[in-house]
Amino acid sequence: MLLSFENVSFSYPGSAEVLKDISFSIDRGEKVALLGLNGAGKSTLMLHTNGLLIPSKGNVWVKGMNTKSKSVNEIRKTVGIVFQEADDQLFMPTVYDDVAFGPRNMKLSQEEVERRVHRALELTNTEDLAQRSPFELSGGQKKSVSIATVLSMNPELIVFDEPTSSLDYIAVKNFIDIIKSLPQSILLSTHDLELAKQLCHRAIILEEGKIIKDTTEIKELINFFNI
Amino acid sequence: MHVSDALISPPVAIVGGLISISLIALASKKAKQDSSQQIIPLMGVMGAFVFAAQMINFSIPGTGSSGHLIGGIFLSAILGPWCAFITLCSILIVQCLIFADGGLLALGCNIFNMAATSCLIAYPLIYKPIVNNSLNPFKLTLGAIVSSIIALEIGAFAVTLETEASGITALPFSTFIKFMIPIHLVIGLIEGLVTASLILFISKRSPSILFNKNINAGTKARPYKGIITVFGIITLVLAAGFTVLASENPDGLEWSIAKVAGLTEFVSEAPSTAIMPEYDSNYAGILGAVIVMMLLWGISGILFSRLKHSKSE
Amino acid sequence: MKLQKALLTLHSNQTSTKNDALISKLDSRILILTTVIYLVFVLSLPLVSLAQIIWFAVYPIIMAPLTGTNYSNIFIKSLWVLPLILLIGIFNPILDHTEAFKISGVTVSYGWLTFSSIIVRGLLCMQALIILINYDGFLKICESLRSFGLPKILTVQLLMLYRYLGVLLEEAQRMHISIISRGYGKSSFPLKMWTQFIGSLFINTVERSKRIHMAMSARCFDGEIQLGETKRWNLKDIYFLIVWSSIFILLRFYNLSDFLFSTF
Repeated sequence: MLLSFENVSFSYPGSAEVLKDISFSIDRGEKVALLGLNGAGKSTLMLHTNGLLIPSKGNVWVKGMNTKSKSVNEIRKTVGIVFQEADDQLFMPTVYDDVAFGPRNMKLSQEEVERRVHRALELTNTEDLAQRSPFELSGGQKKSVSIATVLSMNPELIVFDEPTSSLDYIAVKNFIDIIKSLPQSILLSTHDLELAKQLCHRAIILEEGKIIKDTTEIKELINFFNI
Repeated sequence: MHVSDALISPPVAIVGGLISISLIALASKKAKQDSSQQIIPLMGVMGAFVFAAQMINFSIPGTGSSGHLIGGIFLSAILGPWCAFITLCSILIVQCLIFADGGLLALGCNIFNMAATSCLIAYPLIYKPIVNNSLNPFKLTLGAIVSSIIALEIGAFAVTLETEASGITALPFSTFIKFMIPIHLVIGLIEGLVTASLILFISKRSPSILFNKNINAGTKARPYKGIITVFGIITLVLAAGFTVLASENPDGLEWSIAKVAGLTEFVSEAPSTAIMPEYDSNYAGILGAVIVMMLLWGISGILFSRLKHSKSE
Repeated sequence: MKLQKALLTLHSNQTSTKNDALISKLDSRILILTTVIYLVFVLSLPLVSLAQIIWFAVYPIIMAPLTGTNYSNIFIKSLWVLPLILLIGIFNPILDHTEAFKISGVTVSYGWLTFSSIIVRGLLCMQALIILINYDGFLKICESLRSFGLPKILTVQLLMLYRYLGVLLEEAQRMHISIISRGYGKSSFPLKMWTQFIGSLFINTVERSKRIHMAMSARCFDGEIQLGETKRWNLKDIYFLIVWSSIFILLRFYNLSDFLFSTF
C-alpha cells in the first residue's frame, strides 16, 4: 500500500470540518482522479498526502510511515506534490536551481544532483529552459518545470492539484503526454472529467468533505455528473 | 535620499561600506536565531512587495503632489528589526544593481542612511517601546509617526555629514542641514502616517502577521522605557539645538547670501577650502558620535533582551 | 508609468544576451572588482583635475563595445543620474567665484570647474555601473557576491527578491489597471484607497509566502537553502584586472593632457 487514508477528519483552526471520515488507499501503479466541486475539500486532502497537514482525527500512512511521525522527510521523498499555482512552486532564480532544490535538500552529491536534474528535465522536455528564470516562462512551460521539480526527487506517487486549470489546449496536450510517459502512481485532482478519463483508471468523488464514490468505472461518471 | 557616487569621496564610501558590512554580518547572525523557517520566503516576497508598493503613489492633500512608501518601519513591524534590515538591504542592492538607482560605492552609506536608521535605530528605540506589542490604534499610529520622523532625520543628518565630509560640495554644512532637517521632518511625518495607516489596516484584518517575538513581552520592554525616552528627548533637543546654532552662525547662510548679492564689504576673503568651518565640525562630530552611540545602544538593547529571554527559559 | 518601466528594466536584465560581446565569459567577479577599482580611482581625483577625470572615460568607451553595447546608448542612459547631482552640484558655481583660469578673456571660476568635474565623474560612475549590469545580469552578480563572502541569508534574500519582484510588480499592475479601468483617472490615490490597495496586496503576498513555504517543505526544505558550488578563479580573467588596474593607476597619477601638449 503506497498511500492510505484511515478515517481521516480535518478542520482548520476555528472552522468547521473540511474532511469527514475519509478512508481510501492507493497502490503502486494506480492512476487515480480526485473529483469534486470547489470547496469539496480536494486541496485540503492533497496537503495531507505528504504531511503538510496532519489529520485532526485518523491517520495517513505512506509506505507504512505515519505522516504524524518524525519520518516526514522520507514521506516527502515518496510523495511529491505539484501545486496548482506554479509561481508558488518555482521559487528559485533559475529552472535548474528549482529542479535541483529537492535533491540538494536530500544532501546528494553534486554529480547525483546533476544527473537527477537532467533526467527530470529530459522527462518533461524542458532541458533548454535550464538557465531561464521561471518568471519568464509561459504557463505551460512553468507547469512542465513544476513537474520536473518533483520528478528529480524520484517519488513513487505524484499528487497534482488542478494541473490544467490555467493551461491552453496545447499545454494540456503536453501535460497529458508527460503524465502518460511516467511510471509513477498518480493522484490527480481536477474539474476536467475528460482529463480524468484520459489519464486515470479510477475516480474518487468528494462532496462536502466526504467520499461519495470510489469507482474504476470511470466512463460511468459522465452520467454521474449529469447536469 | 539615495546618495550618488558623484557626491562622495572614497574614504567616506569605504567607512560607510565597512559599517554596513559589519551590520549585515551582525544582522545575518541575529536573523537566523530570531526566526522560523517560514521567514525565508516571507522576507523574499516582502522585499518584492515593498518594491512594488513604492511604485504606487498616494496623493498628499493640499500640495498637489504625491509620495510613496519607503517602508523601513513597516518592514520592521512585520519581520522584526534584523530580518527587516536584511530585506531593506536587499531592496537597496537590487535598486543599485538592476535599476542603477543609487551609486555602487555609495551603497554602504545608503544602507546605513536608510536601512540601519529605520530598522536598527528608530524601530528598537522608538517604535517598539511605544507600541510594546499592543494593537492599540493610538499607540501604533504614534509609534509609526515618531519612529519614521526620527529615522528620516537621522538619515538626513547622515547624508549631510557624508556629503560634507567628502568635500565635494561647496554648500556649507549649516546651509545644507538647514534644508535637510525640515524637509525630512515633513517626509517623515507623511511616511509615518502612511505606515500607520497600513499597519492599522493589517492589525484589523490579520493581526497575527505583525511581528511579535515575545507574546508575553510586556515585562521585557519596561526596564528600557525610561532610559529610551530620556535618550530620545536628549537626541531631539540636540538636533534642534544644533539647527538653531547653525542658523545663528554668520559664516553660513549669511555669507553665501552676501556673496551672491555682491555685498563684498561683509566678506573679507574667499572661503577657505575647509568645507566645514571649525565650530561646525565640532558639533557635527558630536552629533555623529551621538548617532553611532544610539545605534550601538539599539543593538545592545536588542541583544540584552534576547539574552534575558533565553536565560529565563 | 513607474510599474511598466520597472517591469521592462527587469525583463531586459533577465534576458540579456551577450552574443555581440567581444569578451564573453569574463568572470563576473573580475568585472565587479574592476568596476569598484575604477570607481575608487575616479572618485579619488581632486575636483580641480577635470582633465584627468575626463581621461578616465577611456574605460566605459572601450568597455562598451567589448561587452556588446554601443557607448552612445550607455552615455544616454547615464544621463539619468544628472538631476540628483545637479541639485547639490549647482551650489558650487553659485558659492565659489574664485578665478580658476581665463578662456579668451572669459573668467572661469573654480565653482564652474568643480561643477563640471562633479557632472563628469557622476556620468562616468554611472556608465561603469551600467556596463557591469548589462554584461553580468543580476544573478551572476549575486553569485559573485556570495563568493566574496556575502552572508547566505542576504544572498538567498537577493535571489528570492529577484524571483518574485516581477510577480509582485505584475500583481500590482493588474490591481492598478483594475482601479483605473473603473473610472478612477488620477495616477496617485488618496490615502484610504491607497491603504486598501496596498493592504490587500500585502495580505495576498503573505498568503503567497505561506504557499511557497509549503512547496519548499514538500521538497524536504530544512531551513537552509542549498546553493550550488562556486566556480574557481580563471587566470585569464586576472590579466584583465591587472591590465585595467595599471591603466587606472597611470591615469590617476599622470595627466595625459600634459603629456599630449608637451609633445606637440
